[in-house]
Amino acid sequence: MSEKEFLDENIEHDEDCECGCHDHEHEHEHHHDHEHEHHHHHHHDDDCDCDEHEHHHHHHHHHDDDCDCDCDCEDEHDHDHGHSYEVEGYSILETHSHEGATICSFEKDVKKDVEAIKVAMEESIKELQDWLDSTGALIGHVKGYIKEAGPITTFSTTGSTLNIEAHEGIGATVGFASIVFGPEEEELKDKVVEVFERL
Amino acid sequence: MKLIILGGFLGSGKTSVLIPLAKEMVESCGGADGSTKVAIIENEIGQVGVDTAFTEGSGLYTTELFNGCVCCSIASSLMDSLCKMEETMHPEFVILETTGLARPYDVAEQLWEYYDENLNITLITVIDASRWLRVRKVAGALVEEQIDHANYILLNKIDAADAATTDEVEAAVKEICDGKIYRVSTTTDPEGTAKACKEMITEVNSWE
Repeated sequence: MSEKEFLDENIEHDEDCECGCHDHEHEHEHHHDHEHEHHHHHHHDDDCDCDEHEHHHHHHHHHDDDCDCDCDCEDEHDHDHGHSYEVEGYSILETHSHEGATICSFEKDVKKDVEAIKVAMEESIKELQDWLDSTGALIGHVKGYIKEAGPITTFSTTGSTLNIEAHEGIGATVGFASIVFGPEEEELKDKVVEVFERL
Repeated sequence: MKLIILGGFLGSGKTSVLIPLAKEMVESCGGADGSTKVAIIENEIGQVGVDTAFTEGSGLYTTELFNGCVCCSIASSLMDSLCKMEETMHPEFVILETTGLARPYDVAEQLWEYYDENLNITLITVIDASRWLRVRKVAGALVEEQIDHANYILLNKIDAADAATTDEVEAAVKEICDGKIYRVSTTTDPEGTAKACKEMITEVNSWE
């Protein structure tokens, strides 16, 4: 079976799918993923006039039996959504849900002394852990990393001479991911932003 | 190409098993010129890949699949990654570390369908012995399906569980799956983990 055949068979719409988003060739990515073998990968052009552009984030839809969302799909499925947030200082801040778990991850550049970042990271994660424990949440995992900015050497010339300069790296990129059972996405995102304010 | 699907619930120690497992593969199948024939695919459910930051530092060829689970929402991305790996580096082994929310057998079934059964897949599931019973109460169906059909079970973190709990977990696992079980602790007994990895890889290498 070729890759195309496989995708046609497994990742296309059902014949009776009523999601209303079939007939576009797009470049701007938009996902609907349904557990009943019903995956959409839509790419919208800038001038696309379909009505699906309100979101600038991926949606992964898995509907429960008692789901009351207004999606047109009629079949039974689990339901999960992903959301990206634009919050100052964060290059990535996103949440979504999957298999009953709530996921929140972020990445941000912090221009501070690395030792201070490590202390802040430890305090923030401990605070988040205490909060999760107090709510009775099950922590799947809470993980983070600090990737220190390394020295940079720059090369420049305007024709006659080549200037080479070494610069010290300042600060670090901090990455964080939490997968927990209990809190809702918005609640977890707000708490994560709150505890990491000290970064 | 042989594919190892390394699964297991969140926090079970998959990434800690990954490195000794990969090292064992490199030793068992590395070319005469020392070339590495092992590739790693990291699947992380969030947009930020913390485990990838760790494995990239190991020097192993790593590619990542972020922001979705390979057993459902980004299955097609996994096919793409595997095809590219086959074409460009002809690995003898690929290790796919799934998210802690994935069902490894679902991934295997999709791959077998795509490859018309012509792909050697081994399922290794890592379990945190110290908290599996608690996790089972919250996400029972998921953790049981993670074990289902596994060729090998690594009962990890036995140092953090009392003997009775470990026995109870092992008995529960045996009711679900008849895969071979190793008791390990990646943190307190890395030699024991390496030995288990060596045994598994030796056996997998003997399979056609």
